[in-house]
Amino acid sequence: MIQNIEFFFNLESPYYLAKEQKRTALDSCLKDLDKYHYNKCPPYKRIVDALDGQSSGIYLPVRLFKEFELMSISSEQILKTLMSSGTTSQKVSKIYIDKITATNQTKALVKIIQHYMGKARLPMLIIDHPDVIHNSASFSARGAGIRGLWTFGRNHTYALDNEMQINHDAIDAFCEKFKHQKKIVFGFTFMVWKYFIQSLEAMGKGIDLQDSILFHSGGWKKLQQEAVDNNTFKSKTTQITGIKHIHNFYGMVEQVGAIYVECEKGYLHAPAFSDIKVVDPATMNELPFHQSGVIAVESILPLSYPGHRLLTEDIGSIIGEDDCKCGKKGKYFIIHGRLKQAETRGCSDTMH
Amino acid sequence: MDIQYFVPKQNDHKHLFRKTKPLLPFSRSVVDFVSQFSSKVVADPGLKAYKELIALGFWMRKGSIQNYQKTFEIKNKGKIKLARGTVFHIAPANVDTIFIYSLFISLLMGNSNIVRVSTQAGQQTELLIHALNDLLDEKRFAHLQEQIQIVSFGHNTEILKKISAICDARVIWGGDETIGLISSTPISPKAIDIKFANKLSFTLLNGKQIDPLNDKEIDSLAIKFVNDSYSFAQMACSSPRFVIWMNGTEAIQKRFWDAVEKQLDSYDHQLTDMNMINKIVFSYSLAIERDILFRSTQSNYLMIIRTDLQTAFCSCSHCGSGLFFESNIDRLDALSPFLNRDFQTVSYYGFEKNVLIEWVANNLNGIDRIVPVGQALDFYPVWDGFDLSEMLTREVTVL
Repeated sequence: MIQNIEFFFNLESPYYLAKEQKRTALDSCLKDLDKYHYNKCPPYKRIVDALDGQSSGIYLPVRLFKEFELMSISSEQILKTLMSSGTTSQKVSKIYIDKITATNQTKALVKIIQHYMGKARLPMLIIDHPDVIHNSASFSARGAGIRGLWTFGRNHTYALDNEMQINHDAIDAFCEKFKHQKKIVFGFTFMVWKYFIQSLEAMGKGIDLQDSILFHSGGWKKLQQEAVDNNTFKSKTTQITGIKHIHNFYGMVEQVGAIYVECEKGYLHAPAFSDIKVVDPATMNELPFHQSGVIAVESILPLSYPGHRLLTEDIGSIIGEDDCKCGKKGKYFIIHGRLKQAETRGCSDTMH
Repeated sequence: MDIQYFVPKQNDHKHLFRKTKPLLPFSRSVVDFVSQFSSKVVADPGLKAYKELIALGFWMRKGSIQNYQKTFEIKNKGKIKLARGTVFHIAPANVDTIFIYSLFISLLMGNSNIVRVSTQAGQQTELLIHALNDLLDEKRFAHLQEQIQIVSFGHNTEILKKISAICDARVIWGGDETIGLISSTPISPKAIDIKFANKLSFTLLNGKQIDPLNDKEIDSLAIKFVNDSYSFAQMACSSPRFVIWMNGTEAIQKRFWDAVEKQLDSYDHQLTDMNMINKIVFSYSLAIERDILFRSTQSNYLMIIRTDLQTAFCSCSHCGSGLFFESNIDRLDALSPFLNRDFQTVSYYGFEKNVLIEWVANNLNGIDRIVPVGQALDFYPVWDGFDLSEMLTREVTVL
């Protein structure tokens, strides 16, 4: 089995592990996972065998989860199936989660989020509509994200109605009831911007959430099209809602739990459970800090599916390790966006 | 109407949809124009970096046009050959230079031409169009502006219909979908369609002949193979997608691939991170579905998948960008059952020409051309089994 996994869950904080110690612990865990999935997931074994020992620890491209049902459990053990639709294709990633993986994901997420908001559950405002989580058989990425953070909140309140309009009555009641108390606000980056901040601004209406901490995730692609960067997002959000603690996080449905949260200095941080590499996909060699490249992620959490080493289609740069001014240890980085799909220049596309 | 006019610079749809009078085959001004164009392309320092354009320039230099004319005249001795009239060319998106070959052969036959270039056309297309306009601006070639029109339009069936209605021949380069779409637009009952569909190609190597090569010779073979494979990101119909070995021992094969990888170090292949990821996705997917073995390489710019003939032939419409299947055979006939009309070019090293002729002449199904390694992308006026000089002229009989 996986030797070191408890070590990570017993850590006081996911951000105190220095690099040498982290590398040793993480590598031994990842190597166990290489073996574990080799024995449990036949398609994964076929890939490793085809590579015939050429690389130790292969990184599966995330797109492979759209093409194949990759799992290291029997179908009776599936607790839930996480799905995400990619932006470039109609196909959906399917990630099969069993009980122990779900538990581990939650444990990791608790450690990470508690670092930012403390142990008490806080009144929670969700920037979405109530129907988003009602489809329980399969979770959309948004639904899964909300369910993931649900446990950190109480008195859950949806800021939008099912027509995606701002539910003023609900928000006013929420703000009034928990005035001067610490609160948590969560939503997908695009939802927060488009349906919350922009709507409030258009109405000329500010609200008072100044004692809140905002977490948001889901990517910047749509906002980039509107030329909204992280700084604009933050300053406008503070201006309209009074929220000062704003944390973006980077994560993906293929590696739920071990998310990368943005610190006070504006950098995303790798927690102890996971790590990030910026690689050249031609060699899979790591690039020097500050150099832009393709993001590969490692996580100790995936047991039910071979997702412990993944090659994403995101590009970013690592800024440093263990020396961020925010005080947290681990690698810290920024995401630049997504790789552009290569122009398909086959003979078959003359009429484009 | 949503048309972009490239050549001539000043144009309108009234002119575009009108038939113009053809010239005689190999008329003086056209031969001059083509060879001038060749000199211009070869001499332009701005185009030096584009190997494909230099190859194009070389192909239509004065000497080779004269040879082509001689061959044409010998073949048609005593016959009356005239241009068909107006030829409508639909250029492919994957190989920027094809439209010039298609256009110039037709032009040499005397035809008037309308070329539709892809809306996704690359930089080389732009450079070629620019060079064409420069030359057509010269007084001595001004009259040829009537013979050459280059446009681009999207999925506009109205424009497609109008040009198709006036043309005497339509040359379609494209995949099955494109050819289906365009063929379904009627041409005049007296006109003909010439279809160049998507095709696949491979390389045939004889290990016994490669084994004695010294380092310099094997490097020279490798650079030829790299040029064939990595131009147009391995996405041309003639780009080899797999390598078949006869008498291939592990030692010889490794030596060959090492030489290829060495050449790649200094080759400007312009492959992107996404190309690499696409290759990884494709090859890992294939590993799940079929029995394959990756050959170890320094980088993913060269990916080699060792597999059986069945897999090599069935899965070779892959995403290119430097991905090769590799299989072994003990005799040429072993390939024959897998061949069909999807396969175009075999580039070879280490085989006697007469052995290859014997193999093909035995009623082989598929394969349009067999050329030495290094010449896979060289255009030849007989393409995909069609002799363009025949197809783009008409013969008049007088008894």
